[in-house]
Amino acid sequence: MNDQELITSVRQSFDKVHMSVPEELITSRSRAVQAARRRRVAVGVAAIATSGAAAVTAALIIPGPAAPATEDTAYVVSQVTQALTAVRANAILFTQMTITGPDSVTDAVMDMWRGGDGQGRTEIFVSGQMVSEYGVAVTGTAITRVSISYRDKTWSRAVSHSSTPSVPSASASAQDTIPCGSADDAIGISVNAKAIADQLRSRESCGLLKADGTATVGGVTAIRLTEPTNDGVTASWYVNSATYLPIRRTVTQRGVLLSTDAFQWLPRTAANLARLSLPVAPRGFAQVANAASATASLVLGAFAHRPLPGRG
Amino acid sequence: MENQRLDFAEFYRSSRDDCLRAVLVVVGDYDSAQEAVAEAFVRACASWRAVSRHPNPAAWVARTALNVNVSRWRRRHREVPASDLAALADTPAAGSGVQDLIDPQIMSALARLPARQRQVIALRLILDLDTRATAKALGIRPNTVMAHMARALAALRSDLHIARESQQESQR
Repeated sequence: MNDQELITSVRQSFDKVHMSVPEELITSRSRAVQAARRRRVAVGVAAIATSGAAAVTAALIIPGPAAPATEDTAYVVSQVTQALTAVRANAILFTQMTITGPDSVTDAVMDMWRGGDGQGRTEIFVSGQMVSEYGVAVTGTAITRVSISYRDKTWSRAVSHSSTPSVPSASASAQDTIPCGSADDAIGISVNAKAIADQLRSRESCGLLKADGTATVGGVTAIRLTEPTNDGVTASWYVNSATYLPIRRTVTQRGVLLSTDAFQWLPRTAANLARLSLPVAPRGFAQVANAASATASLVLGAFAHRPLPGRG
Repeated sequence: MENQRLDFAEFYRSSRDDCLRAVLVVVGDYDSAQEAVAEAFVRACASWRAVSRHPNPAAWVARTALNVNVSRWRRRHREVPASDLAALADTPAAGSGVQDLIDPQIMSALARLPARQRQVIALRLILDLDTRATAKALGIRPNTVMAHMARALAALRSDLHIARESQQESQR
């Protein structure tokens, strides 16, 4: 083997190696790096103005991003919106919503997978048993919905057509212009990137959302955005301080944790994409007009404090 | 600003695979390499105005990724006894996470090269830098690059020859 053959052989052996990090994640993260730099510089400049050179040294070594002040809420929400826009087409959002409140009749968990293209699947578990499963597929103007009720052993399939290709709304709270002051809008279930961005932007523009500190969530430093509502219910969002992607949301009432939404932004691998496919009813299940209605009352009891998303 | 973003996007699309492959040659572990290269691209994007003026931005990314990887490696192995450091530093996690992607014989042969030779192979063969650019990126003299390259090719040829012969024998 001569040098050229050897070189060709080594080069060709790497042909299958590809970078799988989407460009949007790189640019989104770089914006966070730039923002952290700007904040550090701003802190340094302020320190020069107020306390002289001695203070500068201390200010410049403050690790960024620091806990945001109240006036930074708009900035944080803007960064979150940008990060969500960037990640929307390249990631699958997995949300696990866990109900923990003292009034819930049973322990319930809702697992939701959403792609940026409107496809999605929702599985609802009560006491560890799957009770319902919903799936939505969008092909052009056709929207196919499949619902399966494991309690009733029934399933249904419905196809509707929109006049223009569109993505069905996955969140009741993101569907319309959100009026300020409604507790439902603060705690409504938002299961896709656009819905989350719309919800946060709307609440911030209403002056209801406040960036009020940082916290560590699963080992990650997160900025907390909090919205207290009239009846003692507080919705708190936690966004990764480096990527500005939401990682957690909690709903509490007078200090009692009612529910937790844990968000994961999954790469579009074959395995993860498979979670977006329409569910298939097990053999022996009867096809009915609307399989979800029979189990809805059971499930709604568990999720009573949270406005449910549309089917899919 | 938008032009800067577009330039970076084009650069990222055209050079990300080569940068990853180059760093993978040195690091030997796909996940670590991708993590380091992603971090290097983030830094390149954040300082794109300066990086875009670099004579070879891909070499800048590869060099930065290797530095990122070394920093991470140091943090992870701070508790490793000093006597083990030299041995560990020269031994990438051979083939870990890349078995399905790369010929294991080639990956093993690369892993057996000393770190500096792997760096030269990465920049010269994978990133296709010339001797002068490789020397500049690694902070060594061009003659040293040529010497490392010659030794690395000789070692690879010998390793692959032995591996293929023993494979043929086992098939008989």
